[in-house]
Amino acid sequence: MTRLFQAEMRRLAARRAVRWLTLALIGVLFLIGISALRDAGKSPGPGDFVFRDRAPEGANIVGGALAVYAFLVGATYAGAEWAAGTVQALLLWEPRRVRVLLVKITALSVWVLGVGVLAHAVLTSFAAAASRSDGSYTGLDGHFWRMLLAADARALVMGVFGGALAFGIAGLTHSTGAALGAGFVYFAILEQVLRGLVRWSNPYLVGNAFVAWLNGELVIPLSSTKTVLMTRADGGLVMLGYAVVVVGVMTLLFARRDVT
Amino acid sequence: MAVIEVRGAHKEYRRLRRPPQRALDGLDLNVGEGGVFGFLGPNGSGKTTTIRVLLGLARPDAGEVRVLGRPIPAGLPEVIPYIGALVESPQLFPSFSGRRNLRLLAGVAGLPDSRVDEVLERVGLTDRGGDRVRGYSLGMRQRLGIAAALLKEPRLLVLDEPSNGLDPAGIREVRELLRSLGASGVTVFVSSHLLGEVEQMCDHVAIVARGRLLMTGTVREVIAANRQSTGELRVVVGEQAAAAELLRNRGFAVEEDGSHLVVRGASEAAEITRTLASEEMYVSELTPVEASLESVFFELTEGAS
Repeated sequence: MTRLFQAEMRRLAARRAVRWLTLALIGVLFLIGISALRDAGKSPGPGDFVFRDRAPEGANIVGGALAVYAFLVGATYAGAEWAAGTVQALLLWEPRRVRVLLVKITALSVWVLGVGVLAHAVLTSFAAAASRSDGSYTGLDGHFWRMLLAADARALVMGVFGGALAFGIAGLTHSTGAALGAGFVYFAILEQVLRGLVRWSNPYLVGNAFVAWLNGELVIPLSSTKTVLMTRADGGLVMLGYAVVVVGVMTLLFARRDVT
Repeated sequence: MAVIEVRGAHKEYRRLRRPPQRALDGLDLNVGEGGVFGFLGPNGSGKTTTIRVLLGLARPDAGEVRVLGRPIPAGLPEVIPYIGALVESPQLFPSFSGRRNLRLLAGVAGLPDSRVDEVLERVGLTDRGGDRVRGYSLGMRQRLGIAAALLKEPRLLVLDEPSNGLDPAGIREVRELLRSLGASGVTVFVSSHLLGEVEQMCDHVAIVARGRLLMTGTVREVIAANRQSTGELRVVVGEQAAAAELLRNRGFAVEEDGSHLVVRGASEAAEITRTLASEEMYVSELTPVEASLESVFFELTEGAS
């Protein structure tokens, strides 16, 4: 199992699409960081870049970006394998199908976590530099660091969720394109339609779950007179539910169906 | 010991708005240890399905399958380290080099990178191992697929159409490679459409059609069994047309084939000479028509369909 995991990690690292996406993610975060640094330097008088306030915001930015990154990587990781037929080749070396899937999802998650930690390091470093150059880098007590670590961890969980969801969809459809298309159609069209027309579904929308998960809570209007409070735990449960259903169905079908 | 045992395997593929397709219909198969075993059948006869079932990629609806003594698919994890396989076309990452593809597979089994170089050399790809698979010809991909199958130093090698896309020199190299593996004690189970190749390469064959076993045995046994049933004789005689007429009148099936006659239905050659001599026609040459695996194959499979 360890050897299979190592082989999967090597494969992920060797994929050009994964390298480019990682470079793009880190590049975007660098740009955001440089922009913050320049803005901090421009402000007249005492700086207003307060690390204590801005670092948790950075964690949320990383969360959103990491979820998108992980979705793209998860889709191409599983989709390319089905397109090339290498799933079949792998089963000639490790025929325990559920084990193969488990290792693949674990490898993907570890990869996303690693990239996520790097992303946090990049943005937090820029935030620290900006606050030190023209702002405030004080009040960083134990409580703050615990809060920041928790925010970072939540962002990483979002990344793992995005990756698992895309991996599951690409595994079900056997196609990178279909997984990406499903993601686009859901977020760009379906969720918008549901948000406006099917109000009762709003507490179950992935976008709302993300916001509640990152911000701690979200008030969702169900009608002109009625609202519902979506807590962080609710958001986490919704995300977990979707991931379990999609990956579970994919695993079940993969374990039972003939591999062609 | 039987390396492959299949008893009464059934397999149907369900299809949308169409009747199910029966791929295996009570297939029986027994492959002994060592040597090269040819698995023959026309398109759609169930060859690839059988191979997929042997490797756990497809599950039979009924029947019993054992490979290296273990039931399939439950016992496959125990024996998979000893099985090398190439199913249909090689399944490789096109954007990775041939060497990297093999190293990824070798890594799964904990094999050293030196083993990758050994198999690349064995299939003649050492110089192109660093190139992307996307740029490989069909024959080179096929060689790489064979290299992947050889990585584990298998006891059982299962190859589905290994000569696909190879040029004549490549076909000969693969034939010699498989023969040497078979001679060294590896059981090579190979499906192929190239009947002449199979006849030269294989010790045993099985011929299947419509998911059923039609005949199995050594190549000689299979050919001999067919020759007995057809009993064709090649007859060269001076007055060919008159001789053909005479033999037909005496109840033999006769075909004129250029400079000779092909006669069927004689229980022994002397019947022909005696019949012709009675009318003062004398045979200058009389030989049994040698059946080939190809003729056996067509006779059996056309009869089955």
